[in-house]
Amino acid sequence: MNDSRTLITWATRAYLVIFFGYMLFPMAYMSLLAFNTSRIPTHRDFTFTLEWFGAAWEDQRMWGGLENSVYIALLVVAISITLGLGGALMLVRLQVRAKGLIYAILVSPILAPGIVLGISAFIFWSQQLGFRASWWTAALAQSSFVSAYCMLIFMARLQRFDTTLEEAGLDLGANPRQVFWRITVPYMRPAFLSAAALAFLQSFENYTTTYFSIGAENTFTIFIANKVRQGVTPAVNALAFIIIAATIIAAVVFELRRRRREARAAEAARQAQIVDIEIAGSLRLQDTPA
Amino acid sequence: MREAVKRFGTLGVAFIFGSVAVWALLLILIPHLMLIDYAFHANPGAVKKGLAEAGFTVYSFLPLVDTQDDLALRTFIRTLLTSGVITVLALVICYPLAYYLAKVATNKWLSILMLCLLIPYWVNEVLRAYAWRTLMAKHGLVNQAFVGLGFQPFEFFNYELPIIDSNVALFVGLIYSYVLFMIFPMFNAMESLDKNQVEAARDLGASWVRVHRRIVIPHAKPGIASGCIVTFMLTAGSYIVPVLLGGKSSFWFTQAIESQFSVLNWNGGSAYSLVLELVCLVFVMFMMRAFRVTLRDITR
Repeated sequence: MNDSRTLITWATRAYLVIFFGYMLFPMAYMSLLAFNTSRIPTHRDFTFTLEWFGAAWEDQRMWGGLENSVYIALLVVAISITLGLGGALMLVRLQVRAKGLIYAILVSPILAPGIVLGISAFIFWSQQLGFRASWWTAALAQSSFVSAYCMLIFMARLQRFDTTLEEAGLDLGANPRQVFWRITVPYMRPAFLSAAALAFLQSFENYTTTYFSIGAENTFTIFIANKVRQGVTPAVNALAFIIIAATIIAAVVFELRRRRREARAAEAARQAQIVDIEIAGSLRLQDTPA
Repeated sequence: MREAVKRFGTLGVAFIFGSVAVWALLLILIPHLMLIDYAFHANPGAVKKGLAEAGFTVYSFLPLVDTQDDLALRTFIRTLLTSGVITVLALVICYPLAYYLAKVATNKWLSILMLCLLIPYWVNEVLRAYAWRTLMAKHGLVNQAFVGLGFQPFEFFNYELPIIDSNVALFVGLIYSYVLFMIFPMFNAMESLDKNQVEAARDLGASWVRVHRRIVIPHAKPGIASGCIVTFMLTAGSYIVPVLLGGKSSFWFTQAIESQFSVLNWNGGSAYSLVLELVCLVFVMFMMRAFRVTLRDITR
């Protein structure tokens, strides 16, 4: 029994090491190559340099792509939060017929291949309506599925919403608009923030849907892909290193903030308990006849 | 409806219906109907040459059933088989990990390992494929290790796996790129499992296999189904990973779609896209049936 326990423990450890090695080693290796002088990405004859960061920095097309990526992401955030909120309110709060069908239609873009979303948007906006495919058609193509992610976040939050708060507001003479902005929106605030962050990241890193709906224009991700297709260069590794570093920093900051918030909540709970005990204690003192 | 107007105001109700209408019609349904319309027409060039009729026709789908020139068909089959194998493999690889993260790991380890998963997750698929392209290049690190161990260098980009017919580089890169999408849904589903159930079963003498078969897997069903659907859909619909790792031999179905568009055959590209989507739809339906879960369970 004890032997098989140890065996399982060691097997688990070995498995974790192999799996995380497989996941992380390519990222680490890719980052490392950004610092080697060699003109093709390799670890051989390693001599430290920062020149590839300079090369990446000076590439005008990279900045053009980055600018487009930011425009697209901002537009996608605006559209997805609006549409996602509308969809969530309809599905959670309204009594409408065919909810199942509406839900299926609205989440279907999540379950469809990205290339199909890109192509159908391109065919509709560019081929059928005659607009030139550009950054905003790409934003519309992305919004079809990013809105669904936002809607799922909003629905989860709305389902836990105490609707009597809104009723109380209406009973006390507020109009629906005031109730919405003063009660519903503040309650939804955390959901808005996470939906906006998710939408921005989803949009920024998206390749396939964007590539098939943007026409001849560039985004940051498309720029990197083109660069790699033309032949590998350590300048791409430099950009990859920056992205990985930014991811780690963001994740660590997020985790630390979450922990601090939890610690603060635990401390508040402890304080409240002390007060409770004190109140209970003083009540009991009063109860005891002198 | 009067209730809704009282609660949200006329403007609020108009916003809700307006936004859903814009989203469902302009962003989803109409572009889709256009795609279907294009797919069931022949491209103008073929019509002009008299190869196809001008009206409704299945002409654009024909290359997919052409047994003479079976490039499109072979590409299609390769894509589906490889995606299926990768989905099953990802499930097998991720199941123990998801269970470990959800039920065994301490809080400290959980947050460290989650961070380690998030790094490759947020680095986009282009860079994930690129990393493997340098690693598996002819004189790349993996081959250097092979040579160091006394083996011949390995042609990762030219050696095709039997049956599924994809090259090794593409296979490894696809697993690497999409395995993460299997972990998170399974982890979420397993996290809500009450550990006491597992312990009770163990105390009553159930083997580990039985515990998983009777308790963990039934509980995690929606997560497993959702992980499989996302992994299959992303793999079959992947475009840049096959472009960077497929080499000459492992043409992917999305590349076949792209090659139609590059010769400005919108109709052919639409027909292929529709077929790809149909396959994904059938797969979603199959998973929902097989695991007896609803759409809401999957998207949770």
